[in-house]
Amino acid sequence: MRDASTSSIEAAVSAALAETAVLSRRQVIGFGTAALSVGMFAGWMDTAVSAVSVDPAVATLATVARDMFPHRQVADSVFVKFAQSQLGVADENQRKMLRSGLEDLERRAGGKYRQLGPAARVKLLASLAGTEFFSSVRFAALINLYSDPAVVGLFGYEGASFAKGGYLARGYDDLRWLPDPE
Amino acid sequence: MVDLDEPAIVIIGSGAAGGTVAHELTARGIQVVVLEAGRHIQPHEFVQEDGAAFGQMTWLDKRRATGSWLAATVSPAAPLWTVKAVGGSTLHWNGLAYRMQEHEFRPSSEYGQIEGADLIDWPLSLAELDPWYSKAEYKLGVTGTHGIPLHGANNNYRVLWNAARRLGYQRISNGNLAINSAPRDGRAGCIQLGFCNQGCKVSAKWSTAVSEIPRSVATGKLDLRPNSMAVRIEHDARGRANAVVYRDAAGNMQRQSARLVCIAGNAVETPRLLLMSDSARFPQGLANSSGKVGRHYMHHVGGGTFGLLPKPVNMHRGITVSGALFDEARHDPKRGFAGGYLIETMALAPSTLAMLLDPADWGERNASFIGSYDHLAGMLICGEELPRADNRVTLDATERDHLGLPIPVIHVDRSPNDLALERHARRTTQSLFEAVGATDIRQIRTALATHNMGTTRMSADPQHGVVNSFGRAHDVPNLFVSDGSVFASSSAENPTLTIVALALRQADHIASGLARGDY
Repeated sequence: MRDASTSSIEAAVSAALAETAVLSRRQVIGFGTAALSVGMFAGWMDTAVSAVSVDPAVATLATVARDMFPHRQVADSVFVKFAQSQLGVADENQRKMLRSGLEDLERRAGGKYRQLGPAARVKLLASLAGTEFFSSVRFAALINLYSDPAVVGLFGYEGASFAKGGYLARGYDDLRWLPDPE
Repeated sequence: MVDLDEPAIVIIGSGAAGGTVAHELTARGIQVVVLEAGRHIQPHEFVQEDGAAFGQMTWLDKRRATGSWLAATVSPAAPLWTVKAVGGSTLHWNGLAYRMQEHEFRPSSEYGQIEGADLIDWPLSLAELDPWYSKAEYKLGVTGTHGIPLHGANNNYRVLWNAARRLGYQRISNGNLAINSAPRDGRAGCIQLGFCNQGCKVSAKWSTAVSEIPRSVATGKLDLRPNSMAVRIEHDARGRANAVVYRDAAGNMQRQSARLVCIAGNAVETPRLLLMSDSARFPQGLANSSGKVGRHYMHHVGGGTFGLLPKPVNMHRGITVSGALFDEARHDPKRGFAGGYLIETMALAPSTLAMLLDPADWGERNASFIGSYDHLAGMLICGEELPRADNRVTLDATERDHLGLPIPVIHVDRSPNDLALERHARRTTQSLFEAVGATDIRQIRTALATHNMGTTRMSADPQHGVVNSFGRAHDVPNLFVSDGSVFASSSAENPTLTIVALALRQADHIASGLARGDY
C-alpha cells in the first residue's frame, strides 16, 4: 500500500532533480555519537556540498528523515534537500556509511521501503535504532530541520530577534489567557 | 605590559571571579596581570543561534567524564558547558543572582550525617557575607535590590506564576536578575532578545567582559593577556608561589614572575592547574597536603520539564530564565532528602530542545511536541547536590590534550540524596504543568554541567579542605582560589552572585594584606 507521504516524496524528488542548483549550506559533519562525544553542537562546520546526485537513494533517505520527523507542516522538498545534501557530503566514509545503511534498510524492506505503509516503515526504522546509520541520520536531520528558520518558523519559533529590536515591543509579555502575576 | 621578571599579582581567569578581583584591585591602584585562556569576543559578534553561539564560546578542550552521571554517557569528552573567552562564563550565564540561604552555610550541622555525602560547614556565615552580597548586587545591577526595578513578567514566567499559585505556593519571584531593566551603569536596558545564553548583544546582561574588564583596563593598571593558558604555578624554596608558566597567544611558553597568584579557572581547570603544579615539596599537587584538591566536585541536581499548554506561550520571547519558585528551596527532611531546590523558568531553542528530548524517542510523539513550539513552556530544576569525596577532578594518567597537558577526568556518581531530591523536583514540575492544563509534559535530562563547584573547598580545619574563608590556600600563603571551586557546599541557588560576593571579600582581604606588606 502506498500512502500519500511517500508518493509526494517521489514528486518532490522529481521537482528537485529538475533543478540544477548546487547547494552550499551549513552541514553537519562528524555525525551522531562522534559529534555528541564532543558536546551537543561541536560537530557543526561550514562545508560546501559538491553536487546534486540523480539517485533513488535520495528518495529513500528523504522518506527515512520524514519518518523520523513526521511534521505535517513541513514540505517534502525540505526532506529531499536534506537527503541530497547528506548523500553529497565531502567525507567519503560518511557517504559510504549512509549508502550501506540505506542498502541494509532496503534489504530488510525487501527493496520496497518507500512502498511500505507508514506503520511498517516506523517499525523497520525502530529495529535500526542504535545503529550508526540511524543515529547519524537522526542527528543530522534534527540539526538541519530545527536550525532552518523556514522550518521552525512553521512551529511558531520566530528566530533571531536583534534585527527586529527584540521582543520588548513584540509580545514578550502578551500571554493573556492566564491571570497577570501579582 | 608588566615585565615577565617583575613579581606581579597574577590572576588566572577573567570570569565572574577573576574579573571581579582584577577590578577591585586595579580600582585601588594596584597593578595586576590577568591570564585568560580564551579570546576577546565583542558583543556585536554574538550570534542568535544556539549551535553557532555554543561553538563560538564554549570551552571544548578535551576532557573525560566517568561515573554514573549522564554526561559520562552522552558527552564524555565535553561534560561541561562553560565559556572560554574574556569574561568567562558570564558571557553565557542567564543572570540569576540569588543569595544562598542562612542554613545552607551549615550543611553538616543542619543536615547531619547523610549516606554517601561528605559534608562540612562553611567557615563563614550568611551574616558575614551579607554586606558583600549587597555590594555584589549593586555592581551587577540586580533587579529588586538597591531600588532597581523588576522586568515585566514575561510569558514563560506567567505560566510558572499561575501554576505555582494554583498549587498553593507563595514564594514566586521574577526579581534578582543581573539584567538591566532600564539603562544603568553604562549598560543598556534589556530589549528582550531571548536566549541570554547566546551572549547579550546589547550588554543589558552583566558580564565582566562589559563591566569589570574594560573598567580595569581604563585604570591603566590591568595587563590583560587573552589566549594565554596557564599550565603551571611554581614556588620558591619557602613554598610560596613565585611564577606562573603559561602558553601565550603565539604558542610560546612564558614565565611570569609572581608575588601573589589568584586562580579563577572554574572548578575543573582550577584543581587541574594545582594538580599539574606538583613538585618535590608538594608531591600531590600544589596546595594539596590535605589531598582535597579536585575532590567534592558538585554541579547541582538539574533537569528540565517542558509542557504543551492549551494556548500560545512563545517562551522564546525575552529573558530565558525570568523567575523562580522558592518554596521548595527550604531544608525539610520530611520530604525524604536534605537540601532544597528552585524551579526556574527555562526556554530552549527548537534544535536544543529536540536534542534534549529523550534521544531514544523519535517519530510522531516528538514531532507533535516540537511542532507545537509556540505552545510550549519550560521549567528548570536547580537543586542542592551534596559533596562526595570521590566525585572529583583528577589528571588522566596517559591522555594529553592539544597542548600536551594531561586531560582532566571528572568522575561523578550520584548519591541517594541527589536522586531523591530530583524525583521530588520532577513530581513538582509535573504538578505545576498539570495545574495550568498542560496536555503533554516531558521530563528532560540535561547532561552538560554549567554550575561547577567545590574542588578546592574552603574549610576551618586545613585537613578538611584546601583554602580558608578568604580563598587563601591553607598550604601556600600567597596563593588564592577566587572561583566557585571554594564552595563548601552547592546550595540550591545559582552560584554566580555568591562567587562575586566571595571575590569582592577576597579582593578586600588581599588589598589590606598588600597595604600591610604581607605579599
